[in-house]
Amino acid sequence: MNPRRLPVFAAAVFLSGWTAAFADAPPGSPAPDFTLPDTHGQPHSLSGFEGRVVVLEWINPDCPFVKKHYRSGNMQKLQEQFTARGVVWLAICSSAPGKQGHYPAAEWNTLLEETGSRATALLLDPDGTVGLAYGAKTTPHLFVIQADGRVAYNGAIDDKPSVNPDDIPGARPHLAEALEAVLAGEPVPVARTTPYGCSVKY
Amino acid sequence: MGYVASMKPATPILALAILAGNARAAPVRDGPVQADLISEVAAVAPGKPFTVAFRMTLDESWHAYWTNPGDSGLAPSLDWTLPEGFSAGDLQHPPPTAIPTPPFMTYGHEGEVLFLVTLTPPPVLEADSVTLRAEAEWLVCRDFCLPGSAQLDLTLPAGPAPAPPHPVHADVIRQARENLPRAPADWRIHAEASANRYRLLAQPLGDAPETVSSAAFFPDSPEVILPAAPQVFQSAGNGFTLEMEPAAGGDSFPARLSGVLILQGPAGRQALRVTAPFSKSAPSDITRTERNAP
Repeated sequence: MNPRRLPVFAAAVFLSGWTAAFADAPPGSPAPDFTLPDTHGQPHSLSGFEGRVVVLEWINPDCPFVKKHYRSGNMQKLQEQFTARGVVWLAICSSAPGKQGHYPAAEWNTLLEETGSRATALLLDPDGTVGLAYGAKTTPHLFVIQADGRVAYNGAIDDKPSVNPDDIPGARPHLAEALEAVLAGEPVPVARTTPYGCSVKY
Repeated sequence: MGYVASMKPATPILALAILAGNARAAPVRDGPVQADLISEVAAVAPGKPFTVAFRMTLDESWHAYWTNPGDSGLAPSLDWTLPEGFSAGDLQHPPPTAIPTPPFMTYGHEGEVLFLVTLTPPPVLEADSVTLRAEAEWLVCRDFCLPGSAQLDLTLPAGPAPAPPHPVHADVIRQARENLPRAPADWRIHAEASANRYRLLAQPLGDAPETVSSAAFFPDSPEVILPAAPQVFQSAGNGFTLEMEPAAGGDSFPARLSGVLILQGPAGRQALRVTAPFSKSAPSDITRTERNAP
């Protein structure tokens, strides 16, 4: 046996473990189904929303990038605008217990009220299973799932990676563009972008 | 008495250095970061480009980000307000460090970090001194992230060429410049792509340089490789290969691998600026077989 091969083999084994833990949900692929409780203890399944357009928004209320879009009202405006047109908007928190952004359900309800969130529900994913299944990297990281259950968009809220709310008006609103396209039955102009934000605190 | 006497014929350069004070913007602390601006020259000469450094000193366990931050993060930025006729070049980042935060990998900087910028004065300078103002913004993280900012004003006297070097900061900036990624003059580097691997192949040109014991590649853009996937280093003849896992989400296949390649050898760490065009590799790709094995 060639000893030089050993490091490669070891790395390959490690790699397959790594890829299993952290998956991806590329545009065009079937969105992984899940069931998670909301902050009132109600379970929600993605498959329960079949036939509707669904937004998944990864959230950590203490992340400066999330604050940018909530303090400016940008996120709530998008939530309001698109839920009014029948879109289901699920905010998901994958912060692990003890990590930043992890709150008990009751505290979440206060936070949601304070921020004026217009999401359909906030789902708790403290063990990170759903976040890892989607490859959710940052807060925020956004996914649009079209009515047939396929991923239509995966990426950033817009094209200006910053924590400055002043950048919002001049940014290209990737998420809003994707939603408009899906609702109009048209192809999404940019279906994948690099999400920006804090890392999800798995 | 001798001391006082020796002060009298002080050279103009020394006088300028004293006048320039520290040639440094008063440091600003914001959370875990101290930021300042230092200049390699003690005085600005008309039309002579010079280098300043935006210096971040991070508290232990905090990191700032490279231009491509990896899985998450954001590089610092400077917004200059300069006197009429001055121009500023891009922020030059030092070579990145891989900072694992499982399941993620970010690319960034720890400790004292110098970002160099070339400033070019106009051909004629009428004022006795110039004030260079930079509004710096950054994001630093450990297990959570904090944005920060500082307004940094650096005032330097203006004088005739040649611009006198700053007695302390010229060396600090020269060292930072020497650490910047350099062109790989003594290596031939190309890239291969197979179904699920990117591979950099590096062979020394001419006499074999010192043995490289490990290497790491940092692409200029996100969505080129998966930052957290291990990179596999193997010696090959006098050179080496480095295998990486492509980003699944890339909208398009890149034409080349461009980024910074960091080599570790007996003489320490060196950073190379690499732009390697892709050639298709043979389909009988050994790594592919291994990776698909159960």
